[in-house]
Amino acid sequence: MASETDLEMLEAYLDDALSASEVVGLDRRLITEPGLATALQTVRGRRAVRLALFKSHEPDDAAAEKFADVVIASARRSAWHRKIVRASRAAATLAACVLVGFAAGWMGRGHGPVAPVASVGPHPAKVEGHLVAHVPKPGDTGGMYQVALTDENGNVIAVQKFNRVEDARQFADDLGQYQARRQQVEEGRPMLISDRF
Amino acid sequence: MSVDESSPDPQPPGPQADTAALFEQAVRTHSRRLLAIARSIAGNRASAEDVVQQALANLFEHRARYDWREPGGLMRRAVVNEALRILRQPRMTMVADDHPGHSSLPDGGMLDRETIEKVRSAIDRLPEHFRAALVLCEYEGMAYVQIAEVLGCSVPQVKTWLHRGRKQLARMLEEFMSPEK
Repeated sequence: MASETDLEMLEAYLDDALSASEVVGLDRRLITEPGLATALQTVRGRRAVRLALFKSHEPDDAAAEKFADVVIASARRSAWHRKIVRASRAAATLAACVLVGFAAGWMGRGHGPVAPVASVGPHPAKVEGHLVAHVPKPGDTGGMYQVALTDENGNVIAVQKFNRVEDARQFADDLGQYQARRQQVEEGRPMLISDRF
Repeated sequence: MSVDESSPDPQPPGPQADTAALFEQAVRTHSRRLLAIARSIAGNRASAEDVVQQALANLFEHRARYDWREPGGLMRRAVVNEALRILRQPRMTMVADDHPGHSSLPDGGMLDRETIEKVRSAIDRLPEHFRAALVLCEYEGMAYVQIAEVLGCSVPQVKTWLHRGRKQLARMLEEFMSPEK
């Protein structure tokens, strides 16, 4: 009876996994050792049975062709399905973004920055909330009415000119309301939305 | 020993051929052997058709990643992995064997149904990796290094699985496989 090592070598021999020198050596032994040759036949027989079993699992040509048709059709269907799902997801994401943006805008209406009342130079954010309007006096000459915009230190940072004193006053009043509104917001006091500047 | 001599990989129809066409050609060429591999590895734990279909659907989904000029190894690996994945799941169903009966031996002899069933039962009782290695080695004729690649293990591991699998089978089937019988 062949040893465990010999059986392993015979299996490797049939698997075509031996080196050339190992094959030569085994071939010599098979000639001189009848027991080893018998073991090889046994191993071959077992393999033949297993191979027959594995081959028995093969479908016939018609069944294989039918199965291939099913697989291909299924793959095509699933590819289309995935495309539709992907497109639906993109559309849903876009719709959600629009909805969130709209909701955020709706909820935040009236709390955002109001329209600028005057150009105050390259850094308006620095002066907003600290503007003081200077209303021209009725006796001022030149037919031109000016509203000077100053920062919190009293420095004039812009001058708005008007042809009519009513316009200048209206502008100054608006600025005052705007300042009061900002003050209100910063202090967290309630504010009437409909009465916004 | 060449791999898959009975079903050579299809050649690409041309540079313009898209992967879908190559996939379809490969499915038609290899489905027969893929089904046999799936059935041999999964046994009655899963439908071979389901195993192959799922494996090929996964390949088709990511078909742009693969080289479809040599799809045989790719598809074989996908089917083996899918079969092993199913075998690792908790046992839920048993699939009826739809290929009962007898099969002819290469030397012209016939195996009766009882012997086939004994062999099948013995192979089904092997650990899944032993069975997969046996199928790839003896049915597909793959070299150890290729089997190692498919099963994601080392070549010595493949040798060990094959040797132990054959030894266990021989022990289980001694009464059927002995030369005296």
